[in-house]
Amino acid sequence: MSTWPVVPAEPIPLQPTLAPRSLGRLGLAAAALLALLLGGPSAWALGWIGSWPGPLAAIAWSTVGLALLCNTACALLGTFLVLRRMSLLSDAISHAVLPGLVVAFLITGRLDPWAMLAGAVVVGMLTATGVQAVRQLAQLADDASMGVVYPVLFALGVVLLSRYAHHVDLDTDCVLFGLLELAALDTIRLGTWELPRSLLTLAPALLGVLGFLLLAWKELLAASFDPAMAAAAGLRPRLMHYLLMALVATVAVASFEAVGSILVVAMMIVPGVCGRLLSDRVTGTLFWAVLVAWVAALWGYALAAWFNTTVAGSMAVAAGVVLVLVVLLSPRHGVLVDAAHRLGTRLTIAGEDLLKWLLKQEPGYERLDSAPQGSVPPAEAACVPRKHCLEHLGGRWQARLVLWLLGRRGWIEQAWDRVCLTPAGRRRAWHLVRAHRLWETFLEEHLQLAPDHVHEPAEQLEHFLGPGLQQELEQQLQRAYDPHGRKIPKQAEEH
Amino acid sequence: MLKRPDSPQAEAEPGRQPPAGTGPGAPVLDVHDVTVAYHRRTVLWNVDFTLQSPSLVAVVGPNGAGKSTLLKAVLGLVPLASGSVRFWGEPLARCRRRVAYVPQRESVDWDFPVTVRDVVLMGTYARLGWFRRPGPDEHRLAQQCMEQLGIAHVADRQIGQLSGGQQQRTFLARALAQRADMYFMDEPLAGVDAATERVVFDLFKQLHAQHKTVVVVHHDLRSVPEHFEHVLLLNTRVVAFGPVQEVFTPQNLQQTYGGRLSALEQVAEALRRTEKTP
Repeated sequence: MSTWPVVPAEPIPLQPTLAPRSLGRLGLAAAALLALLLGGPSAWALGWIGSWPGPLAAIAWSTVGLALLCNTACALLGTFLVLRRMSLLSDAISHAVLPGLVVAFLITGRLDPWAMLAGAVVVGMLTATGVQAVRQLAQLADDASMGVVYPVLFALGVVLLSRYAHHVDLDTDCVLFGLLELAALDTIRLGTWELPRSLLTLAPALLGVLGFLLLAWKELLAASFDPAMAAAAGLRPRLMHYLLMALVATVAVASFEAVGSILVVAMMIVPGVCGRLLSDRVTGTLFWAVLVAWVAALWGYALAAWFNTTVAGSMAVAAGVVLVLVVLLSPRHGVLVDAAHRLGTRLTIAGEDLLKWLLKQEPGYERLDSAPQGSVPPAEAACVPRKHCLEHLGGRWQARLVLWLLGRRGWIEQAWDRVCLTPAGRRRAWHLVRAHRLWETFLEEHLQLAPDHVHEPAEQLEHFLGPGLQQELEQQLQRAYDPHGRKIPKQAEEH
Repeated sequence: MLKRPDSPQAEAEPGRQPPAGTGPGAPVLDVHDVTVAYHRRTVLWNVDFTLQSPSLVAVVGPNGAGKSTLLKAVLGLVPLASGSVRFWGEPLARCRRRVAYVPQRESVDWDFPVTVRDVVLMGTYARLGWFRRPGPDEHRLAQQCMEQLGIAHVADRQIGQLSGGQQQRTFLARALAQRADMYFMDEPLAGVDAATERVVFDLFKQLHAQHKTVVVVHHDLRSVPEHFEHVLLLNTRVVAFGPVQEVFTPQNLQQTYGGRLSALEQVAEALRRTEKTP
């Protein structure tokens, strides 16, 4: 017995169906490749530094340790700056604190770390307030007002420095690049411990950042996401803003001498950006940001040792390399995975169009399609030369890929140089015909499009109409014929 | 769907009526002579109105009439050039927790890496006070608010992956989680789908049934007579304020919108319809 083709009620996912599983695998593959590319060199760097002679390795570990402290503090704060879309403020503050340092030195007459810290925090806050004031009073955009405030303050610092304090060891080069190489050697005796002097500023700075995040987490989160609502609810977003600025200034100053402002700025922005690409939660973003900052510290140190160059500069460069890797390979938002998704969709559509085309090549198709239901024998499988298929697909490398993917799904068989629809492929093709005609009919009945205008949109949309949507369309239609007078295949009852 | 009589909120809330700290006879909301100026441009001029009892209030007026600014001024988010605002006879600082604000949807960054659940939980932050984190109670409350607005199934989605209507529902669920007595909403119906619109109007009704006050900046004049009790016609100054039946007249609307109101005729028709129906 034969019937007019009835489309079976097999579930069809709304997403393009040709290669969804391999795309999922592609995300995993990107993640694995990223882990390999980040972890491999890191492991190598650890092993290499570990193989150095004792005293040299000790200095290396202590330098890397200091960099880890600084990078962690910067990455944690920087993530919030990135999320709040004010990354440039880290740049502004880390430069603008210079006059604060100089004035603190002029007042105390010596390089007292606490006075310098106080001076820097005061000027840091002035920068944050100044940026806001300039924005409001001069009605400038955020970036412009920052660009106005911090060069002026930085230049003021340079002027003060060269006028009143040129004999002091407050070198502008040192401010920019730091001397991480020597930080581990510049030690201070504390009881029986011989500790790097920078540790005494970096460790409290990091503790301050951690304490702030732990204690004021929810206030900071609310203030960062929706300051207006936070203000209305009494969550003090303005206070959070200034606390954040004070901490940025503190960390900038604490890291200054050791690592320099270039690394501070790089570590405030790059890890946060990487973290956001790797996670869709704030905690995840912070986690990945810290990890990226650590990888950059390790790579940077190894790079500097290998090429015998500046450590802080190498770390900033390493951070840039990590950023490029993450942008390319992020499993969620990466360039490669995005491109693969687009390619997958394109191949799916090309493949489904080929199935329909193969169906229409079958000798019984015309009779089957125009005959009344239940009167015609089923179409015998007709095969098409592979060459014609490739021509129909445009003949590029993607065409071969489409045939291969269709074969893997079991929708076509390739024997010798011929391509045939399998029964599963034929069912799939009828599904598409049904989706196409439903949509054409809908466009004509409900949007009053002319019959010669409905084919193109239907051709696009047929690939995305799931069974649910098909049923809804069918219920809204009055006719069982499409605008060209052909029957719309029915869906079989579900068993 | 929303008006479940057995919903926990419906049972819990009437117990808080009348709210503690209310002076006898003190109006719910008293906006006295408020003027707001940005630079040299005056955005609000001597806005003065008093809401005696809980109500559903629509704030309508043309673009640039200062509707959003009025909400911000009432909530202390922009400085007042003059005037004062009192809630239940008290200044805002003493009753912030009883007031919830729903800003315009476009005012936040929807790429921010938080889930719907995270955002709704933010509604509970104000009650928790400093240093405390949301516990099981707060999570239950957030879940309940998400279910009430029909977004529980997207609770763990990053907010950028939501439709416009779902984003608006997320904001409203967050406000609901604040368990406030007065709600200020800035264009909660702008650019939402029909289903969300129904949900939002149902929410208004439900809040009103619990004797809450809801002040909504609204743009669709046609739905005002059906869904609101009071209306504030605003165009820098208050053109009219009062019950919808008395104030929402073609003459007042003409005065509010000047000659620019193309929907005027439709409104007049909508008014005639609502007059006939009861």
